[in-house]
Amino acid sequence: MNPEFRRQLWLGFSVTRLAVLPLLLLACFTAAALSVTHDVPNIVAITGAAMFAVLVWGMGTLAAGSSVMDEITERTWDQQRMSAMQPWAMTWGKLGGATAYGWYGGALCLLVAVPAAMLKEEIENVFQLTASAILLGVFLQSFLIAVNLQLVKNGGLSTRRGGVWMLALVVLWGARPLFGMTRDVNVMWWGQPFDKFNFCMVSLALCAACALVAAWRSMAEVLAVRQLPWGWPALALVLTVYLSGFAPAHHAATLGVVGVCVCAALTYFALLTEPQLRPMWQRVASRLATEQWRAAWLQLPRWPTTLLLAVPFALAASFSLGMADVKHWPAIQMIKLYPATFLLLMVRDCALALFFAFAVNNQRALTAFLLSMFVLYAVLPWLVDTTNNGVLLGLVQPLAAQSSLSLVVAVIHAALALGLLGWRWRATAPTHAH
Amino acid sequence: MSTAIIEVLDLTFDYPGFRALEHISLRIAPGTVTALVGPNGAGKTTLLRCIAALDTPLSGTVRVAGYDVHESPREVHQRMGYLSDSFGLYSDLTVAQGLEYAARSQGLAADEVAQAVRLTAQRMGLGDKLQKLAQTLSRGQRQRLAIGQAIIHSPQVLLLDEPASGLDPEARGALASVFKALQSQGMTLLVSSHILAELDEYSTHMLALNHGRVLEHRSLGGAAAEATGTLPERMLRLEFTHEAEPVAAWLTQQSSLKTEANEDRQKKVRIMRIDRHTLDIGLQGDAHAQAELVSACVAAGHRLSVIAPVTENLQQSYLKSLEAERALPRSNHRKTQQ
Repeated sequence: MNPEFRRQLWLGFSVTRLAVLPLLLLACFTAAALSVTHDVPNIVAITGAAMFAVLVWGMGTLAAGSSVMDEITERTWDQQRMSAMQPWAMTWGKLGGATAYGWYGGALCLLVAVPAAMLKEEIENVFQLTASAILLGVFLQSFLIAVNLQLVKNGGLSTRRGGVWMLALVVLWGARPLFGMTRDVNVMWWGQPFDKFNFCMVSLALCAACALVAAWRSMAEVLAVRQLPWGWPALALVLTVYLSGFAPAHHAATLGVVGVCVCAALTYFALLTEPQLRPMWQRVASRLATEQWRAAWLQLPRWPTTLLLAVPFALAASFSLGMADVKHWPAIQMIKLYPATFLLLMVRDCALALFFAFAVNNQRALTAFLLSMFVLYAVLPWLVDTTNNGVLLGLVQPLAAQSSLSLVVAVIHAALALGLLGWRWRATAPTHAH
Repeated sequence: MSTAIIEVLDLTFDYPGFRALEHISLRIAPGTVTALVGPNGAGKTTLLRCIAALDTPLSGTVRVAGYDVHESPREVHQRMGYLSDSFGLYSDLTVAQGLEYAARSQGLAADEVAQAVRLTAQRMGLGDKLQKLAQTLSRGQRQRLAIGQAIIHSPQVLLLDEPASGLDPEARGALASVFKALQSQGMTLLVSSHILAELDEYSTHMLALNHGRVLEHRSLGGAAAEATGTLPERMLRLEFTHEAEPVAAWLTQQSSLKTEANEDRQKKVRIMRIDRHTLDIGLQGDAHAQAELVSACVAAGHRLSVIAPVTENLQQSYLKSLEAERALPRSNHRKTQQ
């Protein structure tokens, strides 16, 4: 048996806990059944579903997240990192073991809720809903492990658990239209109609698979098993293809714009959640200087991979946007999304993030970066906008300028930020520990 | 040192704003106990963590038992135990469960686990505490449990960072016995500690670090000889009625004092200190070699008045190394290179 899975079972299961949960659930189901005079199976099914959600989506997800963070608080992380377990074994050991008690309760709920639901609903529907609920549980738990591992790399604290939960809720809220669809409405994806239930299930399975891969690769990183950085750009490609399928028009521009947006989201996410310390980049530079190309790739953080991937997407979008019919996508016209300009602004923002992160006193690097973004994207454009000077606004916010000017201004912005970064790099060369 | 279980080559490690290790190279022979000493911030913990593949250096390589630790960390961890200075235990597990988890996670075969748990618990003096929760153990017992978890898979190399901190004298003594026993079984230990007196008991080598550089890495006489099977090095103080400087020059030229047994050192006499009429040397050999040295000295016309053994403990060795380094002109210190 997987040692980590076994350890989690030791911690999570005891005779008392095993016995208490069925009794508690029995009490809940009895109370629910006695609280109504008719349609008892329906209320029992609803109660079972609600309890499943609490136990698997709630408790199980929290336990999955804690399985990583508790190692930090109990100072056992080094012991785990020193083990001979491979990253995948460690990942599923934590995922399966930490959430086992929640799944135990969830299984008991389903044992009651599924037969009760089948009295009223079609069997196929009940099974599809059950499968979706299980897949959502796997997704949430894997997702939280992946995010917590990402935070651990960044010296994450258990106090950030709340923030992670917020992130999970945001992801779910984003997927709300997909799961909130009514019956008899098909989903159009890449111009093809798909059955809503099946589409939801496949989407959830895809999300769960992506989250599992993310958890495994994050685990490999924290266990010092370096891997080539293909995972993050692969996720960007999967998301681009998936999200582009919902666009009303399908051509290169669609893929390009969606690709740039997905790459931007993943780049900023990685930039803000990964450690961006100078020694990390020194390691990359050192390996590049000695022509150890593979070693340099192994040391590379995640965000540059999606920043690089954004280049072909931006080029594809820039070259095809003018030719394509974008009347179905007024947002493009409205915000004048010039992909190349946007890409250059991403470069500027990344350079600024590193500029703050490389400071000797970088404890508030994240705050300083977010503040600079607020100033660059909101305060300055707002201030300049009050003067009604379009040229000045274009200089402050390149996305607001005319097409060709926006590119030039964005180049200047990126060059200035890179200049600042270069200065910071030279100024923070390491000295001896005297 | 022909074979090395730990090989560090040109290791440099940077923290934000400062260089913790600079171009460290060293080789540690199997079966030795190396005391890793140095002031706070010298880079001891960083070096241990780099060897354990827990931190990635800026440049350089570390090989343990022939494996590059950063290329094959999992393979190295199967052959290595590590106890960090701020170790934690799974407080809700019993001693037996903690040991069993460590054994299984280090890849021990299922049919070996029970015996390994029992033997390790006995070795660590926890045989009667197997069913106790880790949180109910005393500080010393917790320390021993943590060491037990680190050695349960019988690693070839054991890295210990301040293993005796916070322990009472009795517990420290017990720990020293454990380390001696581990060494006698062929394990290689690299132990970082501030309590040099305690390291003195079982260390065969001293590795002194300062400002991220190796100050000195050498054997500690008798213990090292015992561990490596070579002749012991005697520390001797020679006093002359005249200046000792010419004697030192003469000694370094004496081909008759070369030894074939230890090619690394080339000579069986090592000049350690010259102070006007006094000369401290390390002589590799037995009483016959000592007599031979005295005869040669007198025959060469040097007026030897006193020959006496010098006993130097680890603390004195370390302080002397530190003193010698501080006496060096600043220009001799290598400049930090980016």
